[in-house]
Amino acid sequence: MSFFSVKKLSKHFGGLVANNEIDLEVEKGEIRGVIGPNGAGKTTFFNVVSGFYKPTSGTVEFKGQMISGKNASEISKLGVVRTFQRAALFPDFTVLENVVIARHLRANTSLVNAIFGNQKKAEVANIKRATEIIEFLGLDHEIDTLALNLSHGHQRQLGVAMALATEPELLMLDEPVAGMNSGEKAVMVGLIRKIRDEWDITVLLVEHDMRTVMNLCDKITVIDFGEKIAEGTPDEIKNNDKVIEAYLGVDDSVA
Amino acid sequence: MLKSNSSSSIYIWLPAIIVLLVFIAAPAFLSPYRMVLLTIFLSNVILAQSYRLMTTTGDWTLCHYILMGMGAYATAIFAKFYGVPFYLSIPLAAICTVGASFLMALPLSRTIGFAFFIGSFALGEFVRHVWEKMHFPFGGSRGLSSIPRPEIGQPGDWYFIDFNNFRDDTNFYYLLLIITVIALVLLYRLDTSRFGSAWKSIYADSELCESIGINVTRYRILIFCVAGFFASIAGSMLVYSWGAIDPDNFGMIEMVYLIIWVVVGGVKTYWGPLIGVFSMSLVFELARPFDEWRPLLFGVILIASLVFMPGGLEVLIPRTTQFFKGLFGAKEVS
Repeated sequence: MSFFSVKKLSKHFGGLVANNEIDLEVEKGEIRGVIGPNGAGKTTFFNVVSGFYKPTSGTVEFKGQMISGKNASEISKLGVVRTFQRAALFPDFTVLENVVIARHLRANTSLVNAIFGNQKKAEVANIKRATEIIEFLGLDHEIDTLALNLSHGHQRQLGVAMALATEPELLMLDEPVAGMNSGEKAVMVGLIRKIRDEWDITVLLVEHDMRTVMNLCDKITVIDFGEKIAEGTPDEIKNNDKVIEAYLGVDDSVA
Repeated sequence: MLKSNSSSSIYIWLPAIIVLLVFIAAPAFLSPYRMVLLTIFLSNVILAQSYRLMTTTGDWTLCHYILMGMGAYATAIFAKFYGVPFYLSIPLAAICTVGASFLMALPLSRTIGFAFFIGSFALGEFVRHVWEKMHFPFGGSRGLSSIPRPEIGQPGDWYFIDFNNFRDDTNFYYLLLIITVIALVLLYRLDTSRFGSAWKSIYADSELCESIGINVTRYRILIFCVAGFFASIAGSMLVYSWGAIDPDNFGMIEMVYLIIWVVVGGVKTYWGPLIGVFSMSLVFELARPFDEWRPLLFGVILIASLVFMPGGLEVLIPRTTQFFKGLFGAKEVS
């Protein structure tokens, strides 16, 4: 039984084949990158795995449990949580409140408790844990800032903090460094490593930025036109003919 | 739980308590006719506040009045045909309404935005036509009448104030006031609870909510039922104060007035709808001499408030608070 395995996963939109029989195995503690040219189907793949789309065929298993076909919120409950390409957050709440709301799965409250119980007391543990997560990601100086006033880099970090607040075992990051400057990229790369090394959370990420992927990931899967064309360590991928072909194209005059 | 929406400052609570005292003292200096208006006002307060709860997820329904009507009809049927006392009929009606709300929410929760808006209108009209067409038990288009007033024993039996000194409707008014205060407190608790922030976050970003494990569909059904519960209580109060209801009481015009109250007051804070329903009821009564002009007047007010004060009257709260802070030179209270 592998930690996380995708078997022959396909997703069709009408006649368009966005993903065609993709296989993927991720070991516990790995940082896995999924790359591919624009329109290769990476984001679709992500949406299917995280439960936002239903797969046309194929299965996704997490620790021996079938998660394909389940709702996104049910998948999060089982320990597979995703982030978004955009800065997804609750803009009118502070950083701390955002993370506390994201503790939803661990809050375990009922309607009766919410109305008649002691609301402050019920949240003490959640606030403590949320503060820990925010400090871990180095956002503690912004803890009382409204989310909409954060810089783009910090907003993306907050997105990761909210995903961590659900206590995941597999963290799926959708283009974690998209739109960042080089300084912010370096911070994010450091954080992803730290999350894996210190909290032992497996990471699966989709990314465009080659330099980030090459120096962050243990293993890389390449998708082109909805199909997996290569898999291996960064060095293997760099020298793979099919990958070079997919990114740079074939020289017709020579062929 | 959340700092940004808890208005626990003295500048909010002091006026709230003063208003409550005014309502307690009201029977001493109001005419019987005004007392009837006041009881209807109390029911409207609960209705507006429960509608505001509904809108926190961004779902502006067009059938909230129908939920209120369900509560009213259920209470009327229980009280008229089965002689159920008010302390049982109100909760029973609320349970019936929650059940019906649940059935309505099942298809509605699969729609968003415009589809939800129109879908809720269609479902509501369907229910209203059922009332209109079925003579038993809803009484058809003439509705139900001669519904007995709640009985709370002989004056001086068990309550702590001797109501003998007041007019007849006074007991009834105090009963409604107590129910209103309890409902408002429960709604406030809900708003500040984890459920309240989950609903607000669904409005902000429903995809993100799914990814952090909030089941959006389930939460939207839940809020529909909870809002239906409180709307039903408002309906029970209405039916007891009127003594009669018919399907026209729960038509589209009433729904539009409800939307006007909430829009004029604002929905961002808990206090907005209260301000809205109060100010609009006042305008409504002052405009009584110009009866046929009222719809026009309200249309103008709605448009004017959307243009000049899109946040609603509630945006004035922080400003007045600031003003009083400046006046008393008080240090930052928050």
